[in-house]
Amino acid sequence: MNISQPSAYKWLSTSLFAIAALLFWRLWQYSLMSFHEEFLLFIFDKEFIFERLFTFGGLAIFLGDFLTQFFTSMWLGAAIIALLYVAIQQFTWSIAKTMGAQDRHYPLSFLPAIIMWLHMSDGNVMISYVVSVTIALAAVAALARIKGEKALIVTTAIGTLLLFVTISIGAYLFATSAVLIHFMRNGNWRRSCILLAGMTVLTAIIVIVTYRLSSYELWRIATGLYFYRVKYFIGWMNILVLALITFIPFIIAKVDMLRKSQFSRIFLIEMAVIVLIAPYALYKAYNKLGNQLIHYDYLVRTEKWDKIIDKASQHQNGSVFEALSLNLALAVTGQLSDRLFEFEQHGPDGLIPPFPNDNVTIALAGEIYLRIGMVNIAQRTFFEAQENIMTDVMSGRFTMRLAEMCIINGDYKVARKYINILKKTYTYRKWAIENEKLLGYEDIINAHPFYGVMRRLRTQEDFNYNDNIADQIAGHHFDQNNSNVLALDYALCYQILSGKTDVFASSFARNVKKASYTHFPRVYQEALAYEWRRTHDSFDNMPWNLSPDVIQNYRTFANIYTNNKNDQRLKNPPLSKTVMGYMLNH
Amino acid sequence: MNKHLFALLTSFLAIACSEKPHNIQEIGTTPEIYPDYIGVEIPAGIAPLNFSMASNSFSLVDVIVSSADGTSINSQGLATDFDIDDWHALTQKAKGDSLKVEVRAKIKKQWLSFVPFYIHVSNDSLDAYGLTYRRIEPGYRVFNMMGLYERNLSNFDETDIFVSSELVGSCVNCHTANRGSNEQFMFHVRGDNGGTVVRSNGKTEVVNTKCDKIIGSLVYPSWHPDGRFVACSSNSTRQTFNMIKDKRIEVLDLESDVVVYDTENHNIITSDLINKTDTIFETFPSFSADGKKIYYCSEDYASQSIEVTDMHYILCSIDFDAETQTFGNRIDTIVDLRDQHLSIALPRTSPDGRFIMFTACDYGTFPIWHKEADLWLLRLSDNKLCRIDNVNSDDTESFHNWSNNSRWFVFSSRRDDGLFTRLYIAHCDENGVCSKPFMLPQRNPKEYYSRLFNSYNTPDFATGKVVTDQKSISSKLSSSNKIQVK
Repeated sequence: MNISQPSAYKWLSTSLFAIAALLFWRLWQYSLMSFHEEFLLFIFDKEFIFERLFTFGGLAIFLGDFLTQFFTSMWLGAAIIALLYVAIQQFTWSIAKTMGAQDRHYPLSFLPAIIMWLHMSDGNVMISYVVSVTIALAAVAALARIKGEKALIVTTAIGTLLLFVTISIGAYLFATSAVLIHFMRNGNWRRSCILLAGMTVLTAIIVIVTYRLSSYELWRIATGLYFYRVKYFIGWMNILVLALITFIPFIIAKVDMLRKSQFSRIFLIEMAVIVLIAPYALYKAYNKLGNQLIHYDYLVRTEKWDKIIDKASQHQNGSVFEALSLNLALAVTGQLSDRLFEFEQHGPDGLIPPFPNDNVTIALAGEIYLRIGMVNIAQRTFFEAQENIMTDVMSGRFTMRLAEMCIINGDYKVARKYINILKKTYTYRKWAIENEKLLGYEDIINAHPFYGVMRRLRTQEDFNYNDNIADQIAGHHFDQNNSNVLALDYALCYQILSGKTDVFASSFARNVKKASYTHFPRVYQEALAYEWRRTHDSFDNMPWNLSPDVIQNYRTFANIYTNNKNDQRLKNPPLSKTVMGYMLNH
Repeated sequence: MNKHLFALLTSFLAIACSEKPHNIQEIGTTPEIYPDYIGVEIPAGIAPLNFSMASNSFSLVDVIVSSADGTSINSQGLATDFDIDDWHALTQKAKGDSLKVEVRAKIKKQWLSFVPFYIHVSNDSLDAYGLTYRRIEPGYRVFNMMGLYERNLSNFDETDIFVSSELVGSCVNCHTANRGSNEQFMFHVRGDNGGTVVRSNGKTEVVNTKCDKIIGSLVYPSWHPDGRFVACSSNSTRQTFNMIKDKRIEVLDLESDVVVYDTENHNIITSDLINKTDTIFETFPSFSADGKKIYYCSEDYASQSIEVTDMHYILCSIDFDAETQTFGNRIDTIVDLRDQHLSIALPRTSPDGRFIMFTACDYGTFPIWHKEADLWLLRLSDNKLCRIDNVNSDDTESFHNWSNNSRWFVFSSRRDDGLFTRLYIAHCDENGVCSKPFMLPQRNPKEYYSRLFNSYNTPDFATGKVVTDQKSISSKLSSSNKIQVK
């Protein structure tokens, strides 16, 4: 390879860009990638495929869904996204080159892909949007090669119509680019303005006709149906990004009008600017609270409990979602009763949430209910999470969970229904086939490491659930099965976090002998000390054999508090990370 | 268009791939098919009763359906797919008689032939164009996509009446028409953009029904036969969630009253006997066939604790005079099943005035999640009351409605899989003898119902294609300019 040749620079920079994108998604933002797949179930059958394809903008939606299904495979998913970026960059360059760009400005052709990369830091931007933009750029690259004015206009009109039907808002990019191509070719702004007016009228007619023929709101038709996950928000950023990407190839083509210079110098300067700015911009864009929560969601979904605890140990973002994930991880690993207050807490709602409204938190709530043994409530929660998906598809994760709930409850007919659907998928087929073999075999299910355990943990006695008595219900699950210490921990910690240390003390006294604790949990010792001293003058005659360390901590805390209740030592570790510290600060 | 194209393509493929049954082994029983259409009674002109073998082990089913005069139609495939026109012609010929269904099915290269079964074609017409219903995913609090739909009963076409997907967090409640009218109906939309949509006399209005006179919105409507008045209940409800399998949710009233809404003057007509100051819950009103009575369910909560398991509703009636717009001054108890520890819900009077059908379950007012809930029939001429055993199943039977000629009724049941409600239609003769119900036909029922993760709610017959303009309704719902009920 001769590195001094422009083609070698181009080849090398594109390859490095692809590798950077691949590693970025595989090594850093894999949870965001998984988040896309979490709210999709791509079903290989004619109903699903026809339904998606024959939606307005269906080709982009279908391809977006098709690609997203592979996002559970981390390398494959990262490679797909990297290839989409490369396609955006290559089509951008093709357009710019056709319109007269010089090779020295090749680095600028990365800008649209980088803008898309930045835009995708919002997990609600759907892959179908990226596909729509990519196809639109490909269409513009083809259009730019058409020479005659009439052929250009006719192709533009037909192309806009076809693209609007198949890729929705990508057609805006195509139509606008066509006007820019016309203007740059002919230099006659009057004729280009007429074309612009014509394309505007044509596009408006297509939007209005589509609106009249469909049941959707006008703004949804105008901004694309499944290009933004939350359908009630207008995807203005999608439109803005589309506009930026539209103009960049033509700016690249005309940038030499400003200043002409040598290939290598300009190439290196532009590349250096991009290499210096892009990583920083990407870091700032992706390192936000929403994506941290998505990472927790991923860790809960994949049951990486230790990683959750490690992540929270390094840095807590202060969200309730984090507290819910962390407390679940602590509970599952048997550390909740010892380490609860080592981390920032958000009251009882950070342990067992009241019914949430967003489906990421709903799913997390379902995972918590399930592990306590509230199978019916977990099932209801996954129903709600499924219903809350606004892109009118099912979720593989939730469908799998619903099938599991049905197997636990012995509802095999419904379980088979879910399993039959999952069998028609790339990601869940293996799981579905394995689990289908269990249906109806009670002995095997009872001995199953997940289903069998859940059958023993769920309650046999009916009562009515509501969010206000979550601790009582968790405690009830322990009463029914004393091996369900996780449920007892949830009940006791809920009472402590609610500030009901009197209720906690009596619950603990009633249940501690039934629970198989290997040691006296630290949090419970502190709570008992706190409650005892709240109602007694000294630790004398206390029925619990608390560790001297806990008593000393309490005394230290009490002394400082008595002298100055605003003393900063009470608000800082180690004293703040105790039951007393929690009670003071909440 | 796409569906039709696909159907055409698959038909060509089916013809090209058909196989003549050979080396047939006789089986001495009727086949196990899905849906179970063996021995059902159907109206002429209904959509083809396509079916598959219940077991997935069969690779082909070959079916000949013939009438007594020897006319027959044939279909072969994984499921039958009878030509709609041929099927209609055959059912017309077999009116008052039976269709013989001969089934041969292939399993592991071996063809089996089963004992034929019969489908009776009633002399009574269906007297309906289609069915209206709500389809809903089994969520309880979050609503993203919920819709009212209409199904043409002579074929498989389903069209939207109103779909909530474009209204933020909206829940669309029961669509209730006046005797199945496609021009006179109402439904309620809950949520931020909520309101009651009333279509009558060619106008569609969105009404805010909440007012001082009543507890909450107007629900469970029943139209007066003249079309001006609608009896409704107004309820304050609470949801609670069960913790054990087979039970999921209980919805109970904390208060409820029966009122009448005047669609012309937009006012509420109440009675001291059943208004909100009394100590009795009244709900599920249903106008009598002549419009002179309102049947409803009631529960005296003053005499009992508020535990839902102690709530047993009885069936009552009160007179209503449409001319003077007043209620009668006496409440009659029509059916009381408290001695059997049963609670009555959803009474529906037949348009011919002969019957009242209702649902009875162990307790409460939300039978849809009660596996023991069954349909009952009261013959008004002699007050003969019976549980409709050949219609009920081991699972839930709940919401139901009569056809205009009172010879057919549609109801929802969870018998198919225990979770998702499906619709069934049964014949009821003038003495109240009911036939075995048949599941709502689909082009390929096994595939269709296995892919449908929705429950059917509030089914009713429709006399024609329902007239709605979804965009206009959505716009009226979103507007703050709703008609206020007085």
